[in-house]
Amino acid sequence: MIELIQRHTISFFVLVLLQVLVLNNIQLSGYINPYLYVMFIILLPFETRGWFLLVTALVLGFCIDVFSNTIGIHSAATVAMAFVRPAVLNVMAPRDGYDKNTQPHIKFYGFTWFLKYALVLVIVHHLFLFYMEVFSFKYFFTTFFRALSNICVTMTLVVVCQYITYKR
Amino acid sequence: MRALFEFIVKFHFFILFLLFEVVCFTLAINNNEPHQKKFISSANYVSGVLNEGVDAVTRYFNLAEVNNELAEENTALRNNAPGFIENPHVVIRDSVNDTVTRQQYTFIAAQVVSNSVVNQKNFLTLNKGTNEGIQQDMAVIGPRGIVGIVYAVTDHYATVMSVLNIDYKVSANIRRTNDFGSLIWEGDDYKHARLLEIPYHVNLRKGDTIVTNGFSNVYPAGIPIGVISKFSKSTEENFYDIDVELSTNFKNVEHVYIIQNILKQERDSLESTNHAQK
Repeated sequence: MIELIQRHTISFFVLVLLQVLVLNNIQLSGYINPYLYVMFIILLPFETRGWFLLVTALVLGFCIDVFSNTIGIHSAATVAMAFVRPAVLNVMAPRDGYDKNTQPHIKFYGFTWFLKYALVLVIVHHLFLFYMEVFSFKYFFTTFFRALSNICVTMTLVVVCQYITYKR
Repeated sequence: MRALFEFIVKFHFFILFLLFEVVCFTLAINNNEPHQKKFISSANYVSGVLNEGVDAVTRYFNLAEVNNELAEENTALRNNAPGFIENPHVVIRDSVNDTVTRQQYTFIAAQVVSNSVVNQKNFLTLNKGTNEGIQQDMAVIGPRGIVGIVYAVTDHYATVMSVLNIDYKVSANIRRTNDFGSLIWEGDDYKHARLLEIPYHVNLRKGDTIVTNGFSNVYPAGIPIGVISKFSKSTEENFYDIDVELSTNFKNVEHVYIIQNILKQERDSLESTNHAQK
């Protein structure tokens, strides 16, 4: 348990720093800026309490916001994502529920399960983020395209990160 | 009372979610308040220092192009010396050496420590702040043309609202014909912006240069913005649809100048008395 808290605290800081120092500077082709930090919410243990999930999401989003001049936008998107997480986990639960000693990793539930689970959360986060940033549906399709291309890149990174940390 | 308490406990997850979203939206919408901007922006000390560290590394990647740009600018300055920017306030009089009206603008060089082009509301952070005399609403230009306008300042850093920001709007002239319109960015592509309100009778050509005019009291007149890359007649309004290719390459803007308009206050107060009388 203590080890788990330690690991998640460290990963929180690593992900925030990685996001603001490296990924925010990538900006491929003027459209793509992967948001890997959402992985933190994806990987929190199954037993995480609802209120705790929302609070961490708010803090995480706010940290990103402060560094990218987008006050409230990343926070709102991350909180929305944290809000749907319990429901998504419920729908996707195996017949006899989640095992006590497992976590939402590829390692425990396989590639397809993880891909579906993470994809739903990333889609919620990115759509929320991009439409809130524009704050109108005026450029509906441009925004949709931007969200879509970013979802692909973020998902690739999330899955790759799973394989990098597979052995642990 | 107990029922209410039970209700809250039962639905605490949803209530908390709503509460947080309301907080986030309020923050996002009120982000234009000046006092708030100052604390929660990349101009604040921690993120300023962090971004400067990153910039120290990434600066080397586009050194070649940045050098070219500066060399180009030097050539242009040499060609036009001594009048880099036309000063409309110069009055030629005998034996009057008035330093105030000779120079309307002072330039402060700064470096970009953080930048973005992929968002809808893009900002830059510069390594100069109030200690160097930077104030809100000062103009920021690069070697090739306009970059944006100072949005928030702290002691050592300033955030700049980039031209690539859907909230940004600047009054612009077509240099050849002197017709004016306003330039906005529609959030699609960091190389192009859009010029509005140019009526049909204007004789446009592809490649016409768009420059700032002095209307806004922020930019000096005649700073390049871009060139017309495409134009067509709009079906809905009586104005052209004009695509402008921006002259500044926002992806690797590195050295910029912040422009202080010495006569700004004088003009602002004059114009506000006009408004008051209306």
